[in-house]
Amino acid sequence: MPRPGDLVERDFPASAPNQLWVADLTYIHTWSGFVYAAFVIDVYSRMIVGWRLAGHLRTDLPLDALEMAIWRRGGTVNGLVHHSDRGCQGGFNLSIRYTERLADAGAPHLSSPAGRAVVCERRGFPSRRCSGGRGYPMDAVVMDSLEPLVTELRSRGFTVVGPVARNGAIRMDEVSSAAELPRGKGDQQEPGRYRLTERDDDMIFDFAASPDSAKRYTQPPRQTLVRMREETVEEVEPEAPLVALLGVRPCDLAALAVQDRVFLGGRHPDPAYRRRREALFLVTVNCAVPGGTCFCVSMGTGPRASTGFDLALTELAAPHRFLIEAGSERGAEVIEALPHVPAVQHDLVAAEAVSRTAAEHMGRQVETEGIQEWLPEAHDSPRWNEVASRCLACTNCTMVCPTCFCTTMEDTTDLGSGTAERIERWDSCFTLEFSELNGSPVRGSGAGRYRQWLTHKFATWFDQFGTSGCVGCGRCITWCPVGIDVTEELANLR
Amino acid sequence: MRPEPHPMTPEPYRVRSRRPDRADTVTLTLEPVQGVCPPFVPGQFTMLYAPGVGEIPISISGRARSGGYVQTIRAVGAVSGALCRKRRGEIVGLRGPYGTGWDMSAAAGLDVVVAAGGLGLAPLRPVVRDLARHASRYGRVSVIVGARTPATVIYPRELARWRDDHGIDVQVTVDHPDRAWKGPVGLVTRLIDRIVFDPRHAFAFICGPDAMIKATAAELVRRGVRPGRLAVLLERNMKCGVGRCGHCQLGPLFVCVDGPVVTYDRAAPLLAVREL
Repeated sequence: MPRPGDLVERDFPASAPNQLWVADLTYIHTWSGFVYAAFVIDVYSRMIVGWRLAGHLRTDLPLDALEMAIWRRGGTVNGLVHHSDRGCQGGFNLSIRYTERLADAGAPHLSSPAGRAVVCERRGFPSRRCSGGRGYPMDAVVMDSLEPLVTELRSRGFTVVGPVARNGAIRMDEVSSAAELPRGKGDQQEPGRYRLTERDDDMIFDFAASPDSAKRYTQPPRQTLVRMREETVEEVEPEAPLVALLGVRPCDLAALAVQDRVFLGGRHPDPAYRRRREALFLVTVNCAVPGGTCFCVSMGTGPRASTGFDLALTELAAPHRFLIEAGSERGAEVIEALPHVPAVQHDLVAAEAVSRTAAEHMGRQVETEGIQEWLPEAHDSPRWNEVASRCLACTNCTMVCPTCFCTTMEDTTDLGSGTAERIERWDSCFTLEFSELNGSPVRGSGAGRYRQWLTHKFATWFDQFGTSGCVGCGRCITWCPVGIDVTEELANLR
Repeated sequence: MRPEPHPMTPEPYRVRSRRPDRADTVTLTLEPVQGVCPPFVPGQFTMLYAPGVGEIPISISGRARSGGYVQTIRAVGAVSGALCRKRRGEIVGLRGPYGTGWDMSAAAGLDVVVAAGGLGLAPLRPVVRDLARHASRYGRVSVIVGARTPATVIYPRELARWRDDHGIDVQVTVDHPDRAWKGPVGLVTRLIDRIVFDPRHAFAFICGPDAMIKATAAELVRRGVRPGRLAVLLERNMKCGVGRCGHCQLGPLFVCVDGPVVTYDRAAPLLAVREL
């Protein structure tokens, strides 16, 4: 079923009930896990006409909220315009059943194009401001150079961090000018293999995920948390520099959303994480040329970003230009400050084509149906020993993974002052020390440790955080020195 | 207003008293340098920090009359050794209390079996004290304790007091008896034969090493106690106590926040998987 277009255009007028409904999903962390809530609001009165709470994110959830709304308004809603964003799996727009149900009740279902989905705040409802049509501009614009963007971000106090070609790889590092970004560079990524390639064009972003995700900017590899001397405890002020990440990929945006749940979603939120996260300005680049190890389509995280960014770029060729969409108020402010022209239909069609082509060229795929159930049940598979016979327990996969969050603590004492320091650093479940209990490791075998990592990432992560721990970036496959491929292992275990 | 504290920041606590128990365990009473100890539920633990050495989870064994936490530590590693050497008046860091506690109300009206392996008696001490204080709320109460040697049985005086003053059936077995030992020898599961309870109307609190928990729970289930009426306290490597370091995972559980106390119907399938 083709997805309906956006006829609301961020203008939310309604002069009577049942003219315009808007809908959205959100999630709430509770002591017994994540609870998902779906709402349908009548814009005329801002009354919540339908709602539903559930412990899952399947189509039933928004459908039940919709059923309630239709029921409350007498069973038919002829002439209604229904608006929602293009959320996630099981959300409002990707659900065929949802659209069919609306058509049954007499209403066309109109959704925002990706990138316009966020109306006033991420995953938020149109605020009173927006419903009066005064929201920030969400129209896509076109720019032919990134130099003004880099300059503007720097003038706003951000350190701009973008891709640079260095030592045979794309790395994320500070750039002071768009001229420092790579030109005509591509990459070859296969299990255990990463090579930069040269192309005869001017494209800047036609490569896949680099070894650097956004993780080091939200969760530093090593940070001093606290100092203690006698009875004086000093919490170390976290470094939270203003950083604009230019070229962060949709899979890495999804990883940030996962990290948000890990560090902010529980009973013990991390204020240092929050500060660093809020100090980030995210300029995502929708992927055009996926790598051989990419599988974001399987994980539902790419190749096009729909939420979680300040600005989204799609790089277009012939002529070389960038389609830019705002995903936040400050993103829209930045666009306003740049020389740009409004996007025309031709630009939007070209950007759609880029994303569609990318989606068709995934290097890998994973069948995720039921994985949360069957993977933990596969704990006795002989396959774990087979993987362990190749795995070096080098921890590379966990270091490049954008969602692996495990840490350990180091303790030091300054001999002069007697001040003790606690330093938190990245850790890996592949080390023996990780599970040590009373002098011996709980997971002493390589098979036990690989099983822990893979099962956590793809299955038990759901139990803990209500989401998959994998975003399909493929880094663990590329950077495994012996080329162990999670997609292959999952296919074999299934 | 105080800014939101980082979950890894300890509070300074002073050692108010230090009592060496036997062999290698020490019981400390800890009081905050400022303010009072936050409330706790029996079964919960704190993260105790020996400055410059490290931090480990230690169960709370009770509240002293002064209001401080009573915590029993066995010197088995660098951090526990350093904590055990702390003297009266010295400073440690403390975070918590954290984790789930024993659900005493679930045992109301039922016969109660308290089973401890070694240092596992430490988090069960407040359970037994509650059972002794509110005897009328429960049926028959039995405490069975297994230890490696007679010298590693913790709280020997309290065990005697529970038996003599409160009429609780207290049984202790050891793996390796010394010459003076006249009690039973062998695993704690063998004591189940020596206590009286109605399996269909019984609740058990179990704490010890994984193997002890599994053996004890299996024996109680075999006799007809429902797995949902077995509360077990799990132990895993914990670096943070707040579900952020990832170390204490047991399948879907973070033992530090989803546990350490869980019912056996939940724990059994997880403990059954090797190296989970």
